[in-house]
Amino acid sequence: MPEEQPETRFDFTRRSFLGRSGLAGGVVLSGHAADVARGEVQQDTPNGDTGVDEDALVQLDIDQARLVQAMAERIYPSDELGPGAAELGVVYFIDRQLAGLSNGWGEGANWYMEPPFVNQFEGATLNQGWQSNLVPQEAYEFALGWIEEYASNEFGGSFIDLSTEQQDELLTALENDDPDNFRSVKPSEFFTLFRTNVLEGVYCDPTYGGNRNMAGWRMKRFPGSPGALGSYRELIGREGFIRIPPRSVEDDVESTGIETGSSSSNSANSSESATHSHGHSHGPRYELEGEQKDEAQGDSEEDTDA
Amino acid sequence: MPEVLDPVDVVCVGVGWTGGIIGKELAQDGKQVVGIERGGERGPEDYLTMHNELRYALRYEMMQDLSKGTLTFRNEPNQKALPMRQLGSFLPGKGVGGAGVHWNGQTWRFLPYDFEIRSRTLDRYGPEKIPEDMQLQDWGITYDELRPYYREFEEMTGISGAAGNLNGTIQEEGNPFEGPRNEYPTQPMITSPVLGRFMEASASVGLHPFMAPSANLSEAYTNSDGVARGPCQYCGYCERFGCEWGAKADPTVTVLPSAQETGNFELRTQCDARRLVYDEQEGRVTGVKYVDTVDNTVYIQPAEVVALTAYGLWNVKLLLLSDIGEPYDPETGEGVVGKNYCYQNFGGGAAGYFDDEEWNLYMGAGALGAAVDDWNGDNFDHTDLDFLHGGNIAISQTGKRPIANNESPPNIEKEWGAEFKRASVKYHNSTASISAQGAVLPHRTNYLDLDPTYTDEWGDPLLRMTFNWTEQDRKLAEFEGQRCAEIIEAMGPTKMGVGTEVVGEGGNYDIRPYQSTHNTGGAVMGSDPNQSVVNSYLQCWDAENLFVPGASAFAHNSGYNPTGTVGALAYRAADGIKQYFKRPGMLG
Repeated sequence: MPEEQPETRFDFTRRSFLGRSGLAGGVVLSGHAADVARGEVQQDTPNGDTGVDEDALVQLDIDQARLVQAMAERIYPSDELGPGAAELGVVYFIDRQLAGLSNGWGEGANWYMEPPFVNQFEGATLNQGWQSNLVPQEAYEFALGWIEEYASNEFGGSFIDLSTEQQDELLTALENDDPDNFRSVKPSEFFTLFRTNVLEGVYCDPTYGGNRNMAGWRMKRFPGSPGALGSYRELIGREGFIRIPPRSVEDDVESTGIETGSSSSNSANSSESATHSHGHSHGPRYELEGEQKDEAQGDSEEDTDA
Repeated sequence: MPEVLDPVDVVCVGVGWTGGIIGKELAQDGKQVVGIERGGERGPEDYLTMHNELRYALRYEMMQDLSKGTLTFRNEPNQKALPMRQLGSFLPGKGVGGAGVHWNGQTWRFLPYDFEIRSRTLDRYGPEKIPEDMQLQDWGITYDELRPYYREFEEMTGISGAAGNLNGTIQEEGNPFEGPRNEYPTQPMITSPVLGRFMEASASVGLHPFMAPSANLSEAYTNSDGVARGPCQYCGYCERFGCEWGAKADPTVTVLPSAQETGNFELRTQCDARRLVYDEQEGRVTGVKYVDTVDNTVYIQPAEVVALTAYGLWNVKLLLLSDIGEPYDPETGEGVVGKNYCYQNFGGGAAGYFDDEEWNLYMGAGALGAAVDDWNGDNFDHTDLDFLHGGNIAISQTGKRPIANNESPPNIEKEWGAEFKRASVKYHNSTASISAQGAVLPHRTNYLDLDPTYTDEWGDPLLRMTFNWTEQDRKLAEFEGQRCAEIIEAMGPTKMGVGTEVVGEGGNYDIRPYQSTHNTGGAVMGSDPNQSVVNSYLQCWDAENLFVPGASAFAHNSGYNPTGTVGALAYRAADGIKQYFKRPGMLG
């Protein structure tokens, strides 16, 4: 350890980030579509109604969306612990992801997609990763069709009309590469992609259309963001679980006062009405078991908010 | 025709930890330094609204854009290599600060054994202990020689920890197996309850637990360059994120402001280096050819000294593209560039599921951890074992995020559906996972070269990685997994799962699941030009004014995170460059 404290020439300890303009605009939210998702979907579809709102779709058509929703619900079903994929809005999450509204993911914007392609039907090994020439939005487009074709041939109907036992049987067949009508992407590869996307939709920040009412986070007792310049320093050494009501990164954005672009006012409105009844206070959000209640300032929100 | 710019003293190709350290050291020494960086500028104010798992951890906002270039991969030389089309196994960074911005901050020194691994293995076990295809080499430097450079890196970053071998005296609270060292600049991180449970359990089975060294900063710290940073807030968003507090040491809150303060350091962002300009006759590089990607202008920046400071893999690619050094040939064993590519073996691990515990696992810090080193390096007798080296066994509380972490105890039938949901929700905050960070030793057919088929955005060949686990790796994972199980069992879980197999489909290395961004080797250091690319000053044998620090210089990969050693080697290279300016020629 140095004998004397050196002179401070760069101070990263007390920087005033709030109110700075133009700094974080590029890393805030995922753009207009997220606002669309919140504004239209979350307001128009009450909790518990798991029908798909056609007007809210960007990439998928209504039949594809219903199929995605039914499949997603088998991956992550509703049960006594809480909502399943349908109620959590996973179909809207996947729809927007496929549309490329988050880092261009659905379009494979950051993937290396140069030929020649040697896919798994042609000798690529699983260990070499995705080798199909299809980007996610294309893979979904085709695979959903192949799944319906397989459902019709093997079970005599559309996936959404099958019993849950049959639906599970079909998903297991995908996982085991049983269908022989897939091309470019193997059934198991698509299954892996789909399962991953469902879990993303269950537990993502609600700004992306999934994890509605932050109910996915509540099940895992996950608090979301600690807040912009948030801290658990005083809590990290403590025994006992500390339950903190969840917080979306949108609250962080608003707390910093950073403009999010032309859709910012829309975003603010929709977030207010959708999930964040607890506002944007900077006080502690937690309640410590066995301590005086007045030590926990701010809201003491329980699981039932929103 | 490229535009030829006015010469400067030093060009750093890439501005992450190694470029930042060399840039600062030489700029403070009065040299004119240019840093060429293909990404953009960024700093703590950009990280305020980054607590977003999907965007940063899973859509890789801070990572390399593969559409512009990637590498190809195969397990074996007789296989066709195919492009890594999406990120998975490892995550090279993009932008100023490189992967040094989104790292966790776990900062270790390698063991004295590591630097002399061949000699010490021969001494202790005899020549039969080293398998024929294991290209085990000494590093051409000893721990004692590297020790002052470790110290420089740790004092610049303010590493938090407790010494276990204080100048030769073993200390109760630290790691008794480490090489001799001074005190850490800052005290250890706060011991959270689950870490405490791990430490009690491992002590109860005769091991020597300690708090892992951390670049997250346990307390406020001002380094000798006058950079003041506040303490870690344990917010749980380190790995794959930037630190809005500036608590986690990264180049943008340490070496880069210090470099720029001198007025001698010029940072050129959005500039992609394509070649080192090499004069083979003279054994020198004369400059760097790069593209300003904003307007596609091609420049040549002449320099007295070039420091190749890209991510380790891309150091090797640029050497190969620039025809510097003899490419390694796995058939003959001749050549050096691309040789001894190694990685990290996380096959050995164990998890305990606790019905009666719930920990605050959403809190954490990238380098908040506790560890034991009893089963690492040559800290235990390998006489009756059929592998060498080992791994640091650690529990880390990095902030458990919900998308990527879905617990499934061993009795779960499948990874989806009602039973999976119940288990993954139930155990989310009630699981303690530990793993051994297994060393990977070099093998004849694990190497890097240029791909014959696939090209990057400029039409240059992609780097080709040929890598698979060997018997050494499989035996190591099995052994370490059993050791992890003993610790977890002592923690008293309701049920437990044990991993004893290397990561990957069919027991082969797999490019898909994230394992670690610890890609090492390919431009290794050593004392023999026929066995290495650079000498102990990271100076290139085939170009005396070219220095190549980074994990590419590792002759093998140890059982720790690499950044501490990367930082030390960068300080060593900076020292070498200063000496070279005074007395040009090969150092040593």
